Amino acid sequence: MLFRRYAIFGAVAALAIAGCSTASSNGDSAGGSGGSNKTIAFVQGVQGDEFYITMGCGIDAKAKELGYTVQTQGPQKFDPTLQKPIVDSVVASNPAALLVAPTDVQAMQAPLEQAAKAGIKVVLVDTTVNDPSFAVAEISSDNVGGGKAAFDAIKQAKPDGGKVLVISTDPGVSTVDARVKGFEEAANADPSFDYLGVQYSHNDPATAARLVTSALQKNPGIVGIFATNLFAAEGSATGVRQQGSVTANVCPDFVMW
Amino acid sequence: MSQSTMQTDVTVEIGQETLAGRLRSMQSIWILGVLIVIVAIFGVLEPTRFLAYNNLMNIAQNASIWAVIAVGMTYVIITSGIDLSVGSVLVFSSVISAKVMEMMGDKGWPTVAVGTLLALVSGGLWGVLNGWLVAKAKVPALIVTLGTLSIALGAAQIITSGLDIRSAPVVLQDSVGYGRVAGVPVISLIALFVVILGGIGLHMTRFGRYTFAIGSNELAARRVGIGVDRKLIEIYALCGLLAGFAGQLSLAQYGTTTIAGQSLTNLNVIAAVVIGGTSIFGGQGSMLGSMVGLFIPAVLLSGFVITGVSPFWQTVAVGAILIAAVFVDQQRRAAAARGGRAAVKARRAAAPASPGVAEYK
Amino acid sequence: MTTLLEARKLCRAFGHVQALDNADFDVSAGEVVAIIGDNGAGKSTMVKALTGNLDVDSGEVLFEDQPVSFTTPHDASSRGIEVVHQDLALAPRLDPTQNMFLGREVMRAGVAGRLGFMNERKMRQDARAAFVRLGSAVRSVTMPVGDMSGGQRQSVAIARAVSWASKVLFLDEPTAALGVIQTRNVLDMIRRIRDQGIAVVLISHSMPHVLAVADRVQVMRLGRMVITMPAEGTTVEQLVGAMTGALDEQDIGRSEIA
Repeated sequence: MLFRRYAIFGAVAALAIAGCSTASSNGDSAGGSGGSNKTIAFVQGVQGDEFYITMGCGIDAKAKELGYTVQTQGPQKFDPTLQKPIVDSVVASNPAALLVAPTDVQAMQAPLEQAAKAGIKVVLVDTTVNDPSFAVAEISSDNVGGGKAAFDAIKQAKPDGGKVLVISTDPGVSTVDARVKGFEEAANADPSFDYLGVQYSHNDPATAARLVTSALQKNPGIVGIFATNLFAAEGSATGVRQQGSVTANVCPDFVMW
Repeated sequence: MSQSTMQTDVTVEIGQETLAGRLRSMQSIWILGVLIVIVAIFGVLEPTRFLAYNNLMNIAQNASIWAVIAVGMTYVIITSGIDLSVGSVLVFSSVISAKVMEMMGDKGWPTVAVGTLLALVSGGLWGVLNGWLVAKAKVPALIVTLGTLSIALGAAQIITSGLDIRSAPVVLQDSVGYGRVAGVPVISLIALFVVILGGIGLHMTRFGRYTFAIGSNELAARRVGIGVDRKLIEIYALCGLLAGFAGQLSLAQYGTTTIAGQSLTNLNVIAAVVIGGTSIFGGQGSMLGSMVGLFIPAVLLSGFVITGVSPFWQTVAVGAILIAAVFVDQQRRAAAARGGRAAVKARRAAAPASPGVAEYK
Repeated sequence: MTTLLEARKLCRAFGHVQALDNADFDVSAGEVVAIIGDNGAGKSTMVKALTGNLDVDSGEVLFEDQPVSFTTPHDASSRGIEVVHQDLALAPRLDPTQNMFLGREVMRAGVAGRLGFMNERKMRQDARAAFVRLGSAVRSVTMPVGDMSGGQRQSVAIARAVSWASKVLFLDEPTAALGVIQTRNVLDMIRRIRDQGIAVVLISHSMPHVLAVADRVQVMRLGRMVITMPAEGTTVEQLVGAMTGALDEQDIGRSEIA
C-alpha cells in the first residue's frame, strides 16, 4: 500500500513541475531567475512521520527524474502555529512550487493563499484547507470512503458485531476528520455494532496506547478499533497487546489505503 | 573626612557607574551580537531571499504572539518562578473569546472588543489561580503550572467538545492578523507596544523593582515589608493576562482556536527568555534580552528553511544555542565577579594614598 | 539617659526549649548596648522579639515608655527601629541604592509617581550621600551587591539600616565576616551612629569588639538576662565568666540593676 502512495505523490510532483514549467515559459514565473528555477518545496505536516517521509520519497524520485531538487521542511509537531512560520519562510525562499500538507483547515488558509499570491504553485497533499481554490492541485484519498472501508474490514473480521472505537489524532485535521466521519456513518448504520465514539491521541503513540488500554478496561467487549493514522495505529496496537486482548482488531489507516 | 575627599569619592563612583551599567547589560548586548551575526550569515548566504523586506516582516509577524507571552514570562522567571500553562491559557482564552464572539453574531469591532476583554479576563483569572497556588498554597510553580497547563487545555476541550471554533470575525483577521501599517504587520506593532510597556514596567517602576527583589532574595523582600504574596499573584496574573491577550491575537492570526496547537508555545517562550539572559534562578533579566532571545530561534528557522537545511538541524541548533547562552552567561558572570574584585584590589595596591581609599583609615 | 526601648519579663518557648525566660532588656538613646551570651542563650530570639520578627508568649515591650506590640518587621521600622541581620538580608542582584530603598522607594512627583515611576536619581544621590557620611567602603551605588566583597555588602546593609533607624539600630554579628580594617570601619560607624543620638544594640561573639565599642554589656544565659555592666573597666575574662555562669554578680562586684 505504501508503494501506491509513493506512486501517487510521484505523480503529484510531476504535476507541480509541469505546472511551473508552463508558467515559466509564460515569463511570469515564480522562479526569480526565469525558467531556471528547479527547486520545489515540500512542507510536511510533522517531521519524522513515516507517512510524510514516504510521500517525500515519491516526490524526490519523480523530481530527480525531471531534473528538479526538493527542499523538505516540517514542523516539530502537527501544529499550525509551528507550521505557519515554516511556510512563510518557504515562500521567502521562492521555490517554483510548494507541496504542503496543511495542519489545520482554517489556520493554514491565509498563509497558503499568500504563498499562491506570491506566484508559487501550491499543491495540497493529503490534508486540505477550507477553501483550496488557490491551489493548482489537491491530492488526497477518499477519506470518508476510507473510514467506511475500515468499518467494513472490522465487520468482515467480526461479523457478529459488537463495540467499536475510533482513535484519532486531533480534531481539525481534514483527512482524519473525514475518516472518522466515514467510519461513524457506517458504524451507526449497522445495528449490530455499538459505536463508542472518538478518542484523541494528539498524534502520540504513547497516548493512543493509554487510551486503548483504558477503553478496553472499561469495555472488554470492544471487537474493533479504527486508528485514523500511523501513530494512532502504532499506539493502539501496543495498547491492545498490553491489555492482552485477542478479540479486538486494530484497523489502522494504512490497511485501508 | 575632608570635603575634597568626598568630592573625589563621588567622582570615582560616577566613573564606575557607567562601567557597572555596561557590565550588567552585557548579556543582552552579547546575545544581540549573536543575533546580528546570525542575520549577517544568512544575509550573505541568501541576500535576496532572506533579507527581503517581506521575509523580515514575516519573521516579526510570526514572533509577535510569542513576544506578548514572553513579556509576562520574563516577569515570572525573574521572580525565579515559571509558567508552563501559557499555551493552554492562550487556547482557553481564545476559546472563550471565539465562543462569545460567535454567539454575538455581529462581526464588527464592538464584538472584537468584547472578545478581547473576555480573553484578557479569562487569561488573567488563570494567572490569579497560578499565583495564588504558588504564593499562598506554597505549591512549586513548576507543579502548579504543569497542572493548570492540563486543566486549562482540558477545559477548552470540554467547552468546544474538542472542535476548533473557526468563526473569528473577519475584521479581526484582516486588520489585526494580516493587516499592515506602513508595511509593518499590525500584529507586530501591537506586540511591540506590549513589549515596550512591559519593559518600562519592569525596568522603571516600583512593580518591576519588587519583581527583581523577590527573585533575588524573597526573605529580604519580606523583611522590608514588601507584600511578596500579593506581588507574586499580580505577576502570575499579568503573565496569564498576556497569555489571554495572545489568545485573541492567535485568533486574529489563525482564525481558529488552535486547540490541538500551541503545544510547544510554553517551552519556546521559556527558551527565548532564558537565551535572552534572564536567570532561571531569579533576580536577573531584561525585556530587551527576552526579545533578542525570541528572535534568535525565529531567525534561525527562517534562515534554515530558506537555505534548505534539514528541519532536524533547526531543533538541534536552537537547543545548542540555549545551552551556550546560559553557559556563556555563567562564565561571564563568574569572570566579572573575579575581575571586579581583582580590579578593586589592583586599584588599592596601585594608589594606597589616594583619596579614594582614604576611608580605610 | 531616658530609656528608649525596654523589654520586661519576656517569655517564649519553642517546644520544650525556653528560649526566653522572663528576660529583661533596655537601651537608651545615644547608647551602645551589647547583648552577649553563649550559643542558644537567647540573643537572637530577644532581637527578633524586639523587632517584630517573633511573637512572645508573655511579657511586654515598651517603646518611649508606651507599651507596644510589633507584629511585623514593618511595625518596628515604622517607629524608627531597624535591624542588620546576620545574613544581611540584601537582594544580591540589586545594587546598593536599590537595596537601600527597597520597600521605601522614592517616587516621582505627580502622575508619574502614581503610575509607579521611581525617582532613581534622588535615590542614587541619597544613597551616595549616606555611604560618604558613614565612611562606607562601598564604591559604586549601581553595581549588584552580589558582586561585592563581604565588607562592602556589610556596609550596604548597615548603611541601609542606619538611613532608616531614627531611634534604635540592632546589629546582629556585624563583624563576624570581616577583616581587621573593615571591622574597625564598622566599629567607627557604630560610634558615629551613637553620637547622632541613636540607640545601638550590638549582638556579638567578639568580646574585644564589644568592649571596644559598647557603653553597657548585658549578658544572657539560658534565656535570662543575668547581668548588666558598664563596658568601661570590664575585662574579657569577666564577660566570659558571666556568660558561662562561672561568675555571678557578687563575684564581679560591679553590677548595676537594669
